[in-house]
Amino acid sequence: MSRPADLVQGTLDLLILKLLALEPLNGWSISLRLKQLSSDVLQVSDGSLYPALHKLEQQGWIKAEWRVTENNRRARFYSLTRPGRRRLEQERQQWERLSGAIHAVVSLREA
Amino acid sequence: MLAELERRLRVAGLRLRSIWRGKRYDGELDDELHEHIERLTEQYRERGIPSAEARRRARAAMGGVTRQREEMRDARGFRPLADLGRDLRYAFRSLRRTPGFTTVAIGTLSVGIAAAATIFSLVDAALFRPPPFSGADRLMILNVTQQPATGGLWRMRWSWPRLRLLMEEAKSFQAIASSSNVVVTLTGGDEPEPLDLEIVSSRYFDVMGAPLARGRGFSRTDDDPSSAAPIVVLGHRYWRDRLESRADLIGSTVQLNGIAVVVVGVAAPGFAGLSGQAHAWLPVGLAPLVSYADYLDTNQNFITAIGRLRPGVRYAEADAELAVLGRRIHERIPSEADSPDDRFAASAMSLNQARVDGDTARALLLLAGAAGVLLLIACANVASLLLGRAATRRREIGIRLAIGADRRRVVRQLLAESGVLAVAAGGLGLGLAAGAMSVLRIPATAASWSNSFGAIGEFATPALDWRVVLFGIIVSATTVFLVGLVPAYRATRTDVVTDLTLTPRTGFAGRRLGLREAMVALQLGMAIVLLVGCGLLLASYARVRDTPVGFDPARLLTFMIRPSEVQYPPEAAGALIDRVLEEVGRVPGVEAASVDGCAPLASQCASALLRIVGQENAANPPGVFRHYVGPDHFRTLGIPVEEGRALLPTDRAGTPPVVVINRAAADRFWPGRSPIGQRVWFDGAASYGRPELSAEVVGVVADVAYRPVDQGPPPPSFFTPYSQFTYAHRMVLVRAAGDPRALVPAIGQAVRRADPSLALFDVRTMDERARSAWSKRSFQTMVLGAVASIALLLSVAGVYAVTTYFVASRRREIGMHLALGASRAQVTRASLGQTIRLGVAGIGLGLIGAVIVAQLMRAWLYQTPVFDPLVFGAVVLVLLIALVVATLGPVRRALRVDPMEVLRCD
Repeated sequence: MSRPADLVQGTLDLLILKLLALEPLNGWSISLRLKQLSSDVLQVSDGSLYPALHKLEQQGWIKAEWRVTENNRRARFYSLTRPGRRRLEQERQQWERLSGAIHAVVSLREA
Repeated sequence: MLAELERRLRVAGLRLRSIWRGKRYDGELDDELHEHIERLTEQYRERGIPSAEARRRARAAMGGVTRQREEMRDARGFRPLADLGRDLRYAFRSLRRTPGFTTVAIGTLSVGIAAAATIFSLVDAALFRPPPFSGADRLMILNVTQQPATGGLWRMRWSWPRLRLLMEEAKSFQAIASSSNVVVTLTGGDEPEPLDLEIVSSRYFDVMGAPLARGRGFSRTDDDPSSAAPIVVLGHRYWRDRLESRADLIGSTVQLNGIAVVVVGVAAPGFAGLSGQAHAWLPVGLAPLVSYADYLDTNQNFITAIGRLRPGVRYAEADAELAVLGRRIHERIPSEADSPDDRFAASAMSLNQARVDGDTARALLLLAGAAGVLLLIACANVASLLLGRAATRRREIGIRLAIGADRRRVVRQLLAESGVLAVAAGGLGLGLAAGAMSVLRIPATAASWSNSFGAIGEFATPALDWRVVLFGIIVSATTVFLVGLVPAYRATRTDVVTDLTLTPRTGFAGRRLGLREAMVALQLGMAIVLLVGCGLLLASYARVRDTPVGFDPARLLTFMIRPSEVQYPPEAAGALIDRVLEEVGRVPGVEAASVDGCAPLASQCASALLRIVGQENAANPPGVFRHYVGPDHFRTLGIPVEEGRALLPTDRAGTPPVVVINRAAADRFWPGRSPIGQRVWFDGAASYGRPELSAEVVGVVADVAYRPVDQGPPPPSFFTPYSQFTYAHRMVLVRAAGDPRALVPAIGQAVRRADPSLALFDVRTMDERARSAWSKRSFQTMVLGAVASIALLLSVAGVYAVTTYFVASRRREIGMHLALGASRAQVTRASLGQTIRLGVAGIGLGLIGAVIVAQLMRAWLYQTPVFDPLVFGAVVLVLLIALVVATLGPVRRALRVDPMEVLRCD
């Protein structure tokens, strides 16, 4: 694949929720972490990360607070709320169903 | 579950926060974004990209801070609220882009709303607003009723002896009180001063629910002349304005009609009695001293009775009791001149009902109907404007739908536009209404003079109170949303492709015009109805004013003198009037002077029952007008003597009784022969009241309109010299050489030389009296005229608008015709055809309505046929001219267009 795959619609939310379930992160770290963990396969465009964060915050899945980073910069740290944790579980199940189904289809042997 | 609740609370909190501190929140987001850009820039620099380029790339990766911010803002906050603001801004902008449409729409609608609100408040003031008394719905006006065998029902007031019986025996009322209006002379100041007061019985203030502000009222003993104390209660306004709220007022003495009375109380602020104009109240026991010696003894029914229903008693029960009681009272105290077949009883009527006479109510309802029609016209006009606007904007809307605009949003935006129009028109309309009301206030009050309780407080004064404001708001909102919804709905129910590919001139334009055409035709029809109604009233009014009144009203001054009838009983009144006329006659500039009981045109003249000596009259002697006048009476008024002689100074007490009659009397009672030498007497009257006191007819004068000309032809009138008999209360009529108003001070002094206690009451020139006699009719005509003119203007504007649109939407067609060699005249004819269709439909529709309305108006027409061809013809002509003018303008503008330009444009 010559260029990073576009994220399947809606999966960005799932990824963010999952990352935040591990630890609270700021926006910059989220984008770094996504690239590292997916070995640069998943690359979130920087332009769409913040609106997505914002939407999740507005829906009450995550919350944000200002903290100081390890190198003494102020940054907004996002963390999962309790409803967000539940939401993550739902999204994860949904994703597994979906990817399982897709996997089943694409791994059919050609006759 | 709990988690979900928590989430929802959090969401709500965030949204609220974003409303409170949207700006600050944006700031935080900016910080975050900039932070990200900084780091991204650093990263790029670490890879060896120059710093300017690194920053540029970082920014590009983020895709623009502003857009991000917008997107984030969309994600939070109350979207509907934000949208509303955006819709309103959009509406303002698009209305400002079309100032012509906006002005016409707001102007039209606000005029309609103003007319409706003004007349609504007028009707409300005159018909619906409750009287300003506490518990007014339990107040009843009580009447003696007389049912002649020939049919009909007359409501009369009471004589004191009858009313006393009623007060003692009626069970349905908490209390009953009497009231009669008199004007007395207040002396003790610099000059004698007239004072409106009411003579009332002791329970009056209880019945009216108006406890005094200070002091005490009257007690039962004050109802009886033998025990009545000489006391008075003053009105609050009089006390405040004229006596500067003197604290020591209670116990002080004032002189009323020469009688010293002690002030015992001050009425509640704002209370002006049942008459609405009283400044003082006297106990009925004083009436024989102050007003009229026989006040308490006579059987004349002239005293108003008002009762307050006992709690729990219903109106119908009270009325039933009165019917029985009234009959019994009349058996015990019968009237003398009654026909034996007449049936007497009594009835009750709520004050609110009694204060509205049917004539006024009908006149006002007519005006209300007219205002409603005007409002409809305005709505139709705005609807057709909005339809036209929607049609021309169809393309714009089509494009917006094509690029993905939400249909609901588009409709909402169109409705927001309507809302802006409604608010602007409503506000402007109510402002106009407030202005119109201040103009209408005076004639509205004057127009209700004939209504005995019409003056109560602010009844006749229309006011812009909250109900009128609410009315305006509801009307404008309903109108605009109803008429705005249709075009908005239609505009979005378009097939996007059709709208983009077809130009707006073809396809739908013709179809859309159907509804607009109907609206315009409807407007024209309604305008015709109003114009015909107005024309009929105007024709009647002109004919009323053109009807000869039989005397010369110019340079004539009239006023009342009200000497104490105790001091001047009829035996002494003649000598007083001798002195008054002599002194007034000496004033320079006075040509002639006389007295009478009434002024012409006022319909308040005394009447008597005529008996002719030698003729065996039927059981019912005819009623005739009676005038006790001076020898110069006919010269003063300019009435020609047609036969025999006028009254002479030598006709005095002790000389043979004489009478001069008018032409109407001569023709009615002595048709075809001379009445000179005939002898007449007046049944039951205080003068010439018996056959042996009969008077000889010595002359016949021309007819004079002693009642307003539209109330019937001059009635038979009998004039006798005041020196043979008169009452002291007289109307003095003075013919001046010049401006009669200029003589008032000198005449006032002359009258006081005759008796220093005399004041001039109700000083008016004859012209002013004539105007007030016509005031109701002129008021009605004026208001309807204004409404009809506006209606004409609006509907012509409607025609103009629809023609403009029609021509504009056919510019291409017209250009094509012109390019193909059609003459301009042909094109004009074709365009006029459209107007003519509209006109014919509208006029046809209008004439049908006008015929119905004219029938309803029959009662107000004077010497004017219901289908007056002049009025109908003139209205149709005016409308046709207006139509042609409204059409030719736009058509000519269209013809000036260069055909090539039209064909080339898109």
